Amino acid sequence: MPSDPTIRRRLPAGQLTSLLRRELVWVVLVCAVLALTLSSPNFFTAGNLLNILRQVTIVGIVAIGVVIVIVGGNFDLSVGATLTLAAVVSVQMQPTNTARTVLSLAIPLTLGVAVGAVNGVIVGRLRANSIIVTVGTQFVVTGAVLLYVGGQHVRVDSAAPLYMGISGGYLLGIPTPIYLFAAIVAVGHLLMQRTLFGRYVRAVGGNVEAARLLGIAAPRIVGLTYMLSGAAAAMSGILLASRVRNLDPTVGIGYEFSALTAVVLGGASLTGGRGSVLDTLAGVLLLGVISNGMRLFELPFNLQLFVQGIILVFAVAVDAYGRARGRQ
Amino acid sequence: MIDLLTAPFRQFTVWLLIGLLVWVSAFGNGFWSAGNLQNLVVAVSIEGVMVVGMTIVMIGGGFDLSIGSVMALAGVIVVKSLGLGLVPAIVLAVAAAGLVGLANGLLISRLYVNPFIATLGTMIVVRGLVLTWTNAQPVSGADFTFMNLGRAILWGVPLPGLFFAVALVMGHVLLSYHRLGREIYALGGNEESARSSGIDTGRLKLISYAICGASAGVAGVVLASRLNTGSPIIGENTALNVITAVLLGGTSLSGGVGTVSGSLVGLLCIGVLGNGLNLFDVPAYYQRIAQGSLLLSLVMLERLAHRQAESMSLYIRTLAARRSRLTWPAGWGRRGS
Repeated sequence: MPSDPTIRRRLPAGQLTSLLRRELVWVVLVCAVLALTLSSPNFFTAGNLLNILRQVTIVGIVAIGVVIVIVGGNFDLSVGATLTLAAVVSVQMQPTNTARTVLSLAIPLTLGVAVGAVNGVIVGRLRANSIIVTVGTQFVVTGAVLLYVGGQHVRVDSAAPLYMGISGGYLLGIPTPIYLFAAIVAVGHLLMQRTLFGRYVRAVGGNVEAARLLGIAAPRIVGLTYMLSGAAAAMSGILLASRVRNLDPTVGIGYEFSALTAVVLGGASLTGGRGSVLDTLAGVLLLGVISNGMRLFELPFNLQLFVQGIILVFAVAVDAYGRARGRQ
Repeated sequence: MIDLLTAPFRQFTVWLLIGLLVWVSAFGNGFWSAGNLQNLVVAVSIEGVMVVGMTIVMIGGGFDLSIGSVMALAGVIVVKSLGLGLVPAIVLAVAAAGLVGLANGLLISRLYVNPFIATLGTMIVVRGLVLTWTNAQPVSGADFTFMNLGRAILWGVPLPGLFFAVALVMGHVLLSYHRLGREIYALGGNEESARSSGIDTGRLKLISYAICGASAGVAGVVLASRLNTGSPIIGENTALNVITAVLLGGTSLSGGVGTVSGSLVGLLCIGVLGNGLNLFDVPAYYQRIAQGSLLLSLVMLERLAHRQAESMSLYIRTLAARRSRLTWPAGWGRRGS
């Protein structure tokens, strides 16, 4: 919202409040971490924290892709299907030696980018509604994956060490997926904050007509955001495949909604133009910390879903209500 | 202008349905047999009830992702509370579903939450609630009368089909002949001007989301009685399927345009396609691909038609502008064309 800073300046409260409001998701994250540290001795241990980080990598990488698309003013509901596609294809390539491992990394990534390109062309060039288009590609990709494996589980038995190392390795005592996730967050952040591309994405998401009049090739920018999102989803799929190595072909269902939850918690505007990779990271971490806390207290998994939903609704309602009051 | 753009879309779907019917009649063995038609009716009816509710919400410019979860909730409630008697159990289930719809409406109209996110939230909350409550185990019912709701056949028509027909008529009457319907079109067409012309848009949104929730409740009850089970995990794909049918029927995602009869055509397209593929023994996976391709190709066709309309000569465009200016005040029901 371009009008937000002016509203904030008019607030009687001081700069600290405004800072807290702007970084609300980080504040909530710190509060959640503090509360859990005080209430459980098992929470703030190196092992548990690394565990949380490792668990959020898969949905986290998807969310980084999704936030870029959302800043560009569109939705991507096909990421769950793309993730499944990449995971299944990666396992089906049977990465039992190094040469095959390269294939089982390269082909799923290419496919992910291709799905993104299809979304990008239809949404960007034809300016079709992104929800309909990505639901359509979701259907097509899910169906194609099921058809490809005949609805059966896929597995790879003696995977190459390199392949297993993608998700199972350690470097300086920290699991390798965390490095990968950190690298993707860093690249995503730099891309969105420090490059012309990032500025164009925000311009297109903020006002597509204005961006066009400024000479920005909006269709190309939209297409690129979808290709990045497809690539991110494919990377998550490969990570998942290398960890599990025995996959149900419906494994990725629902990832699009988890990723979207994280993005919304991170304060991105669904109408485009506003959103940050780092805040999305905070949203992802918040979801991870909450589900970890619930597991520490041995609450059932299904209740976690409930709490996750409540948090989403609450976060969005507070944000939307605040902005609506500011407008009046 | 709006009419000009969406008319081809609606026509595509009608021609598509005719084409599909010709295809299954020509090549499908026994498409027109009573047994198969009854199967088709049952297959489309349960989602059909929700299609009516969703059409109302989407014409009002809204969106509801939560209906799948609500359907599961209603199914579990009705089976669990059969001990109270059949009618109270059903009333309870539909009322609970309506309440979830009301909650959606409150979030959207009073707190100004984006409908997509609000209903995504309630979708997750309700699903978590149902799963926690049932421990993710299905609940079986044991009431013969209840079972009949979903399985009985009356005058050769399966009972769910009759429920669907009633829902269709009610939806059509509401949208085309009732004041609320006119107001919903106005709300979806332009919320600001609807408000300025004295329509209580908040109340209207509450009502339309409550109707949509209740329709998911009815569908959940019928499905539970058909399966004789309240399953906490059903309905994962329901919302997207229902929305697909509504969109195929020519309702615009931005609201203001659409009809119940159009949605019926969209729903029948998906139903006949699925039924035909079954008749030809095509694996079920193709159905998903076909449904997705259908959605994609129709969206693309509509956008291409839009482009053509955009690049038409100035003459046509001024004509269209004049036409929309002339029909706008009188054309509430869009029957003037």
